[in-house]
Amino acid sequence: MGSFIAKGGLYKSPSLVYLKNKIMSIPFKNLLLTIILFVLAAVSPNLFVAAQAGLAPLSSMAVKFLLPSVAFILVAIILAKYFQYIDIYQLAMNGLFAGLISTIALEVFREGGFRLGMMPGDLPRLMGVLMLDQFATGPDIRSDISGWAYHFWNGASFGILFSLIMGQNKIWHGLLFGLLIGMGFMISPVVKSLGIGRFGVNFKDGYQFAMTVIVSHAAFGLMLGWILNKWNDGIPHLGVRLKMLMSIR
Amino acid sequence: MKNFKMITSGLMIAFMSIFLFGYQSASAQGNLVTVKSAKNFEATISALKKGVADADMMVISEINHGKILSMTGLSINAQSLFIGNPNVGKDAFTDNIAVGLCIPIRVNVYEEKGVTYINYFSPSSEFSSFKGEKVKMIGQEMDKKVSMLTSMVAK
Repeated sequence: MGSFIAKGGLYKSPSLVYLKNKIMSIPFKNLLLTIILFVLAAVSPNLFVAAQAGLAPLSSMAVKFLLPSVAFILVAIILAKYFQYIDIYQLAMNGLFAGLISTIALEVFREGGFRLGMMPGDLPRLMGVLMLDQFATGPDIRSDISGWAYHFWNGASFGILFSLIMGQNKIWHGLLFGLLIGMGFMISPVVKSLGIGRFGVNFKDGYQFAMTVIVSHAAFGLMLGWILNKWNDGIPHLGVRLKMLMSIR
Repeated sequence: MKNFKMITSGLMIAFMSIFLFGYQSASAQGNLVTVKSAKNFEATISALKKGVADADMMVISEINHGKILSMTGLSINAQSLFIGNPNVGKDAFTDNIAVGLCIPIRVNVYEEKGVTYINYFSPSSEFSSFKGEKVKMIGQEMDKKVSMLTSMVAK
Protein backbone atom coordinates (compact mmCIF):
# COMPACT_ATOMS: atom_id res chain seq x y z
CA MET A 1 0.00 0.00 0.00
CA GLY A 2 2.93 2.31 0.77
CA SER A 3 4.44 1.88 -2.73
CA PHE A 4 1.02 2.17 -4.32
CA ILE A 5 0.60 5.50 -2.64
CA ALA A 6 4.04 6.53 -3.89
CA LYS A 7 3.26 5.43 -7.47
CA GLY A 8 -0.03 7.23 -7.33
CA GLY A 9 1.80 10.43 -6.61
CA LEU A 10 0.33 10.83 -3.19
CA TYR A 11 2.49 11.98 -0.36
CA LYS A 12 4.05 9.37 1.84
CA SER A 13 2.46 9.69 5.18
CA PRO A 14 3.76 7.77 8.17
CA SER A 15 0.23 7.74 9.52
CA LEU A 16 -1.07 5.99 6.39
CA VAL A 17 1.63 3.37 6.57
CA TYR A 18 0.79 2.88 10.20
CA LEU A 19 -2.89 2.56 9.26
CA LYS A 20 -2.04 0.00 6.56
CA ASN A 21 -0.10 -2.08 9.03
CA LYS A 22 -2.90 -1.83 11.51
CA ILE A 23 -5.53 -2.89 8.98
CA MET A 24 -3.48 -5.87 7.86
CA SER A 25 -2.72 -6.88 11.43
CA ILE A 26 -4.22 -10.04 12.87
CA PRO A 27 -5.81 -8.29 15.88
CA PHE A 28 -7.60 -5.84 13.62
CA LYS A 29 -8.87 -8.58 11.29
CA ASN A 30 -9.91 -10.60 14.28
CA LEU A 31 -11.80 -7.66 15.72
CA LEU A 32 -13.32 -6.84 12.32
CA LEU A 33 -14.59 -10.39 11.86
CA THR A 34 -16.00 -10.35 15.38
CA ILE A 35 -17.82 -7.08 14.72
CA ILE A 36 -19.17 -8.34 11.38
CA LEU A 37 -20.49 -11.51 13.00
CA PHE A 38 -21.87 -9.49 15.88
CA VAL A 39 -23.78 -7.12 13.60
CA LEU A 40 -25.07 -9.97 11.41
CA ALA A 41 -26.25 -11.96 14.44
CA ALA A 42 -28.07 -8.91 15.78
CA VAL A 43 -30.18 -8.61 12.62
CA SER A 44 -32.57 -11.52 13.14
CA PRO A 45 -33.86 -10.80 16.68
CA ASN A 46 -34.49 -7.16 15.80
CA LEU A 47 -36.60 -7.81 12.70
CA PHE A 48 -39.69 -9.05 14.55
CA VAL A 49 -39.45 -6.05 16.88
CA ALA A 50 -39.06 -3.66 13.94
CA ALA A 51 -42.02 -5.26 12.17
CA GLN A 52 -44.25 -4.95 15.22
CA ALA A 53 -43.14 -1.33 15.60
CA GLY A 54 -44.65 -0.77 12.17
CA LEU A 55 -41.39 -0.02 10.35
CA ALA A 56 -41.96 -2.61 7.61
CA PRO A 57 -43.73 -5.94 7.16
CA LEU A 58 -41.81 -8.93 8.48
CA SER A 59 -42.35 -10.66 5.14
CA SER A 60 -40.34 -8.07 3.23
CA MET A 61 -37.68 -7.72 5.94
CA ALA A 62 -37.22 -11.49 5.96
CA VAL A 63 -36.25 -11.38 2.29
CA LYS A 64 -34.19 -8.18 2.46
CA PHE A 65 -32.39 -8.72 5.75
CA LEU A 66 -33.00 -12.07 7.44
CA LEU A 67 -32.03 -14.45 4.65
CA PRO A 68 -28.92 -12.43 3.65
CA SER A 69 -27.82 -12.17 7.29
CA VAL A 70 -28.14 -15.94 7.73
CA ALA A 71 -26.12 -16.52 4.56
CA PHE A 72 -23.44 -14.01 5.54
CA ILE A 73 -23.13 -15.49 9.04
CA LEU A 74 -22.51 -18.91 7.56
CA VAL A 75 -19.99 -17.44 5.08
CA ALA A 76 -18.22 -15.54 7.89
CA ILE A 77 -17.97 -18.72 9.96
CA ILE A 78 -16.56 -20.63 6.99
CA LEU A 79 -14.05 -17.81 6.33
CA ALA A 80 -13.04 -17.82 10.00
CA LYS A 81 -12.30 -21.52 9.73
CA TYR A 82 -10.51 -21.14 6.35
CA PHE A 83 -8.28 -18.26 7.50
CA GLN A 84 -7.51 -20.00 10.79
CA TYR A 85 -9.29 -17.57 13.13
CA ILE A 86 -9.95 -20.59 15.24
CA ASP A 87 -11.12 -18.70 18.32
CA ILE A 88 -13.82 -16.86 16.33
CA TYR A 89 -14.80 -20.02 14.48
CA GLN A 90 -15.18 -21.92 17.73
CA LEU A 91 -17.02 -19.14 19.50
CA ALA A 92 -19.48 -18.65 16.64
CA MET A 93 -20.16 -22.35 16.11
CA ASN A 94 -20.47 -23.04 19.81
CA GLY A 95 -22.74 -20.03 20.24
CA LEU A 96 -24.92 -21.07 17.32
CA PHE A 97 -25.48 -24.62 18.54
CA ALA A 98 -25.72 -23.63 22.21
CA GLY A 99 -28.38 -21.06 21.21
CA LEU A 100 -30.37 -23.68 19.33
CA ILE A 101 -30.26 -26.12 22.25
CA SER A 102 -31.09 -23.39 24.76
CA THR A 103 -34.17 -22.45 22.74
CA ILE A 104 -35.49 -25.95 23.46
CA ALA A 105 -35.12 -25.19 27.18
CA LEU A 106 -36.98 -21.90 26.65
CA GLU A 107 -39.70 -23.71 24.73
CA VAL A 108 -40.41 -26.15 27.56
CA PHE A 109 -41.60 -23.23 29.68
CA ARG A 110 -43.01 -20.96 26.94
CA GLU A 111 -45.07 -23.69 25.30
CA GLY A 112 -46.13 -25.00 28.70
CA GLY A 113 -47.13 -21.49 29.74
CA PHE A 114 -49.08 -20.98 26.52
CA ARG A 115 -50.97 -24.24 26.95
CA LEU A 116 -51.84 -23.27 30.51
CA GLY A 117 -53.25 -19.97 29.21
CA MET A 118 -50.44 -17.88 30.65
CA MET A 119 -49.44 -16.40 27.27
CA PRO A 120 -51.77 -14.41 25.00
CA GLY A 121 -50.57 -16.11 21.85
CA ASP A 122 -48.29 -18.63 20.20
CA LEU A 123 -45.45 -16.38 19.06
CA PRO A 124 -43.58 -18.78 16.73
CA ARG A 125 -46.84 -19.35 14.82
CA LEU A 126 -47.48 -15.60 14.74
CA MET A 127 -43.96 -15.05 13.37
CA GLY A 128 -44.71 -17.62 10.68
CA VAL A 129 -47.89 -16.00 9.38
CA LEU A 130 -46.22 -12.58 9.46
CA MET A 131 -43.15 -13.87 7.63
CA LEU A 132 -45.26 -15.41 4.87
CA ASP A 133 -47.70 -12.48 4.88
CA GLN A 134 -50.71 -14.72 5.49
CA PHE A 135 -52.13 -13.41 8.73
CA ALA A 136 -55.64 -13.23 7.26
CA THR A 137 -55.79 -16.87 6.26
CA GLY A 138 -54.06 -18.00 9.44
CA PRO A 139 -51.26 -20.47 10.10
CA ASP A 140 -50.58 -23.64 8.14
CA ILE A 141 -47.73 -26.14 8.00
CA ARG A 142 -45.57 -23.88 5.83
CA SER A 143 -45.98 -20.85 8.07
CA ASP A 144 -45.50 -22.95 11.20
CA ILE A 145 -42.20 -24.32 9.86
CA SER A 146 -41.07 -20.78 8.91
CA GLY A 147 -42.07 -19.35 12.27
CA TRP A 148 -40.40 -22.07 14.28
CA ALA A 149 -37.25 -21.88 12.14
CA TYR A 150 -37.13 -18.12 12.70
CA HIS A 151 -37.70 -18.57 16.43
CA PHE A 152 -34.83 -21.07 16.70
CA TRP A 153 -32.58 -18.92 14.55
CA ASN A 154 -33.19 -16.06 16.97
CA GLY A 155 -32.01 -18.36 19.74
CA ALA A 156 -28.91 -19.23 17.69
CA SER A 157 -28.25 -15.55 17.01
CA PHE A 158 -28.40 -14.69 20.70
CA GLY A 159 -26.07 -17.63 21.30
CA ILE A 160 -23.53 -16.27 18.79
CA LEU A 161 -23.71 -12.77 20.31
CA PHE A 162 -23.20 -14.07 23.83
CA SER A 163 -20.43 -16.47 22.88
CA LEU A 164 -18.47 -13.86 20.90
CA ILE A 165 -18.50 -11.43 23.79
CA MET A 166 -18.19 -13.70 26.78
CA GLY A 167 -16.05 -16.61 25.60
CA GLN A 168 -15.91 -19.09 28.47
CA ASN A 169 -18.43 -17.42 30.69
CA LYS A 170 -19.71 -18.12 34.14
CA ILE A 171 -23.14 -19.77 34.24
CA TRP A 172 -24.72 -16.78 35.98
CA HIS A 173 -23.59 -14.58 33.06
CA GLY A 174 -25.88 -16.68 30.87
CA LEU A 175 -28.74 -16.32 33.33
CA LEU A 176 -28.28 -12.54 33.35
CA PHE A 177 -28.15 -12.48 29.54
CA GLY A 178 -31.37 -14.52 29.29
CA LEU A 179 -33.14 -12.26 31.77
CA LEU A 180 -32.01 -9.17 29.86
CA ILE A 181 -33.46 -10.62 26.64
CA GLY A 182 -36.74 -11.37 28.45
CA MET A 183 -36.91 -7.87 29.92
CA GLY A 184 -36.14 -6.32 26.53
CA PHE A 185 -38.90 -8.43 24.98
CA MET A 186 -41.46 -7.35 27.58
CA ILE A 187 -40.92 -3.66 26.88
CA SER A 188 -40.62 -4.12 23.11
CA PRO A 189 -43.23 -3.17 20.49
CA VAL A 190 -44.00 -6.90 20.13
CA VAL A 191 -45.72 -7.00 23.51
CA LYS A 192 -47.36 -3.64 22.87
CA SER A 193 -48.80 -4.93 19.61
CA LEU A 194 -50.37 -7.88 21.45
CA GLY A 195 -52.48 -5.36 23.35
CA ILE A 196 -51.47 -6.53 26.81
CA GLY A 197 -49.39 -3.54 27.94
CA ARG A 198 -45.73 -3.42 28.90
CA PHE A 199 -44.77 -6.52 30.92
CA GLY A 200 -48.21 -7.91 30.08
CA VAL A 201 -49.87 -6.10 32.99
CA ASN A 202 -53.21 -5.99 31.14
CA PHE A 203 -53.26 -9.74 30.52
CA LYS A 204 -55.26 -11.84 32.98
CA ASP A 205 -54.14 -11.03 36.55
CA GLY A 206 -51.16 -9.07 35.29
CA TYR A 207 -48.40 -11.49 36.35
CA GLN A 208 -48.87 -14.66 34.27
CA PHE A 209 -47.26 -13.31 31.11
CA ALA A 210 -44.27 -11.76 32.88
CA MET A 211 -43.76 -14.89 34.92
CA THR A 212 -43.76 -17.16 31.85
CA VAL A 213 -41.39 -14.85 29.95
CA ILE A 214 -38.99 -14.53 32.89
CA VAL A 215 -38.92 -18.25 33.66
CA SER A 216 -38.53 -19.30 30.01
CA HIS A 217 -35.75 -16.77 29.36
CA ALA A 218 -34.03 -17.71 32.60
CA ALA A 219 -34.08 -21.32 31.36
CA PHE A 220 -32.63 -20.16 28.04
CA GLY A 221 -29.88 -18.16 29.73
CA LEU A 222 -28.97 -20.88 32.22
CA MET A 223 -28.75 -23.50 29.51
CA LEU A 224 -26.71 -21.18 27.27
CA GLY A 225 -24.39 -20.26 30.13
CA TRP A 226 -23.93 -23.88 31.15
CA ILE A 227 -23.20 -25.17 27.63
CA LEU A 228 -20.82 -22.35 26.70
CA ASN A 229 -19.04 -22.69 30.02
CA LYS A 230 -18.18 -26.24 28.90
CA TRP A 231 -17.69 -25.71 25.17
CA ASN A 232 -15.74 -22.43 25.20
CA ASP A 233 -13.18 -23.98 27.50
CA GLY A 234 -10.14 -21.72 27.89
CA ILE A 235 -11.35 -18.95 25.56
CA PRO A 236 -11.51 -15.67 27.50
CA HIS A 237 -13.97 -12.83 26.92
CA LEU A 238 -13.59 -10.31 24.08
CA GLY A 239 -11.61 -7.74 26.06
CA VAL A 240 -8.94 -10.22 27.16
CA ARG A 241 -8.76 -11.76 23.67
CA LEU A 242 -8.09 -8.38 22.11
CA LYS A 243 -5.44 -7.54 24.70
CA MET A 244 -3.71 -10.86 24.02
CA LEU A 245 -3.83 -10.32 20.27
CA MET A 246 -2.43 -6.80 20.63
CA SER A 247 0.43 -8.09 22.74
CA ILE A 248 1.29 -10.73 20.08
CA ARG A 249 1.65 -7.93 17.55
CA MET B 1 -114.40 -20.90 -11.59
CA LYS B 2 -113.84 -23.81 -9.25
CA ASN B 3 -110.50 -24.49 -10.90
CA PHE B 4 -109.53 -20.83 -10.52
CA LYS B 5 -110.34 -20.96 -6.78
CA MET B 6 -108.26 -24.12 -6.41
CA ILE B 7 -105.34 -22.53 -8.23
CA THR B 8 -105.51 -19.35 -6.14
CA SER B 9 -105.72 -21.25 -2.86
CA GLY B 10 -102.84 -23.47 -4.00
CA LEU B 11 -100.77 -20.42 -4.79
CA MET B 12 -101.66 -18.91 -1.42
CA ILE B 13 -100.47 -22.08 0.35
CA ALA B 14 -97.29 -22.09 -1.73
CA PHE B 15 -96.56 -18.43 -0.86
CA MET B 16 -97.31 -19.06 2.81
CA SER B 17 -94.95 -22.05 2.81
CA ILE B 18 -92.20 -20.03 1.16
CA PHE B 19 -92.78 -17.22 3.65
CA LEU B 20 -92.74 -19.59 6.63
CA PHE B 21 -89.71 -21.51 5.32
CA GLY B 22 -87.92 -18.28 4.67
CA TYR B 23 -88.79 -17.00 8.13
CA GLN B 24 -87.37 -20.14 9.74
CA SER B 25 -84.07 -20.31 7.78
CA ALA B 26 -83.21 -16.63 7.61
CA SER B 27 -83.69 -13.92 10.15
CA ALA B 28 -82.92 -10.23 10.07
CA GLN B 29 -82.03 -8.13 13.09
CA GLY B 30 -81.90 -4.58 11.86
CA ASN B 31 -79.44 -4.66 8.99
CA LEU B 32 -77.98 -7.99 10.03
CA VAL B 33 -79.21 -10.98 8.05
CA THR B 34 -78.52 -14.46 9.43
CA VAL B 35 -79.13 -17.62 7.44
CA LYS B 36 -79.00 -21.08 8.97
CA SER B 37 -77.09 -23.55 6.80
CA ALA B 38 -78.13 -27.17 6.39
CA LYS B 39 -74.51 -28.05 5.62
CA ASN B 40 -71.57 -28.35 7.97
CA PHE B 41 -69.01 -25.54 8.27
CA GLU B 42 -66.51 -26.72 5.64
CA ALA B 43 -69.22 -27.65 3.16
CA THR B 44 -70.86 -24.24 3.62
CA ILE B 45 -67.57 -22.46 2.93
CA SER B 46 -66.96 -24.58 -0.18
CA ALA B 47 -70.51 -24.06 -1.42
CA LEU B 48 -70.25 -20.32 -0.78
CA LYS B 49 -67.02 -20.05 -2.77
CA LYS B 50 -68.55 -21.98 -5.64
CA GLY B 51 -71.76 -19.99 -5.39
CA VAL B 52 -69.85 -16.70 -5.52
CA ALA B 53 -68.22 -17.79 -8.77
CA ASP B 54 -71.56 -18.94 -10.18
CA ALA B 55 -73.10 -15.55 -9.26
CA ASP B 56 -70.54 -13.70 -11.43
CA MET B 57 -68.56 -12.50 -8.44
CA MET B 58 -65.25 -13.43 -6.89
CA VAL B 59 -63.79 -13.95 -3.45
CA ILE B 60 -61.50 -10.94 -3.22
CA SER B 61 -60.10 -11.77 0.19
CA GLU B 62 -60.82 -13.91 3.19
CA ILE B 63 -60.16 -13.87 6.89
CA ASN B 64 -60.02 -17.19 8.67
CA HIS B 65 -60.90 -16.16 12.22
CA GLY B 66 -60.73 -19.76 13.39
CA LYS B 67 -57.16 -20.28 12.20
CA ILE B 68 -56.02 -16.85 13.39
CA LEU B 69 -57.48 -17.40 16.83
CA SER B 70 -55.96 -20.87 17.04
CA MET B 71 -52.74 -18.93 17.72
CA THR B 72 -54.32 -17.69 20.94
CA GLY B 73 -55.43 -21.18 21.94
CA LEU B 74 -59.10 -20.66 21.01
CA SER B 75 -60.70 -23.34 18.84
CA ILE B 76 -63.64 -22.09 16.73
CA ASN B 77 -64.97 -22.35 13.20
CA ALA B 78 -65.47 -18.86 11.74
CA GLN B 79 -64.42 -17.39 8.42
CA SER B 80 -65.27 -14.21 6.54
CA LEU B 81 -65.26 -13.92 2.77
CA PHE B 82 -65.06 -10.57 1.02
CA ILE B 83 -66.96 -10.87 -2.22
CA GLY B 84 -67.50 -8.55 -5.13
CA ASN B 85 -67.19 -7.89 -8.78
CA PRO B 86 -64.72 -5.40 -10.28
CA ASN B 87 -67.26 -4.03 -12.75
CA VAL B 88 -69.86 -3.29 -10.12
CA GLY B 89 -67.09 -1.96 -7.90
CA LYS B 90 -65.98 0.40 -10.65
CA ASP B 91 -69.51 1.79 -11.01
CA ALA B 92 -69.88 2.24 -7.25
CA PHE B 93 -66.49 3.89 -6.79
CA THR B 94 -67.10 6.15 -9.78
CA ASP B 95 -70.32 7.35 -8.17
CA ASN B 96 -68.85 7.79 -4.68
CA ILE B 97 -65.24 7.01 -3.88
CA ALA B 98 -65.97 6.82 -0.13
CA VAL B 99 -67.96 3.61 -0.64
CA GLY B 100 -64.81 1.52 -0.08
CA LEU B 101 -65.87 1.25 3.55
CA CYS B 102 -68.45 -1.38 2.59
CA ILE B 103 -67.06 -2.79 -0.65
CA PRO B 104 -66.30 -5.65 -1.09
CA ILE B 105 -69.25 -7.14 0.72
CA ARG B 106 -68.39 -9.20 3.75
CA VAL B 107 -70.14 -12.54 4.24
CA ASN B 108 -69.36 -14.35 7.46
CA VAL B 109 -69.73 -18.09 8.13
CA TYR B 110 -69.57 -19.46 11.65
CA GLU B 111 -70.44 -22.55 13.62
CA GLU B 112 -72.29 -22.35 16.90
CA LYS B 113 -73.25 -25.45 18.89
CA GLY B 114 -72.77 -27.64 15.84
CA VAL B 115 -74.96 -25.50 13.59
CA THR B 116 -73.49 -23.42 10.78
CA TYR B 117 -74.79 -19.94 10.06
CA ILE B 118 -74.09 -17.37 7.36
CA ASN B 119 -74.52 -13.74 8.24
CA TYR B 120 -74.01 -10.39 6.56
CA PHE B 121 -75.16 -6.80 6.75
CA SER B 122 -77.64 -6.07 3.98
CA PRO B 123 -75.66 -4.18 1.34
CA SER B 124 -78.47 -1.66 0.71
CA SER B 125 -78.44 -0.57 4.36
CA GLU B 126 -74.68 -0.09 4.30
CA PHE B 127 -74.64 1.63 0.91
CA SER B 128 -77.48 3.95 1.96
CA SER B 129 -75.01 5.87 4.15
CA PHE B 130 -73.33 7.18 1.01
CA LYS B 131 -74.49 9.83 -1.40
CA GLY B 132 -75.11 8.79 -4.99
CA GLU B 133 -78.10 7.28 -6.72
CA LYS B 134 -76.03 4.63 -8.43
CA VAL B 135 -74.49 3.52 -5.15
CA LYS B 136 -77.95 3.09 -3.62
CA MET B 137 -79.15 1.20 -6.67
CA ILE B 138 -76.13 -1.11 -6.55
CA GLY B 139 -76.84 -1.73 -2.87
CA GLN B 140 -80.37 -2.87 -3.66
CA GLU B 141 -79.14 -5.12 -6.46
CA MET B 142 -76.53 -6.62 -4.17
CA ASP B 143 -79.24 -7.29 -1.55
CA LYS B 144 -80.98 -9.59 -4.00
CA LYS B 145 -77.78 -11.18 -5.18
CA VAL B 146 -76.39 -11.93 -1.74
CA SER B 147 -79.76 -13.08 -0.44
CA MET B 148 -80.12 -15.49 -3.36
CA LEU B 149 -76.55 -16.67 -2.95
CA THR B 150 -76.76 -17.36 0.77
CA SER B 151 -80.13 -19.10 0.56
CA MET B 152 -78.79 -21.33 -2.23
CA VAL B 153 -75.69 -22.13 -0.21
CA ALA B 154 -77.69 -22.83 2.95
CA LYS B 155 -79.77 -25.58 1.30
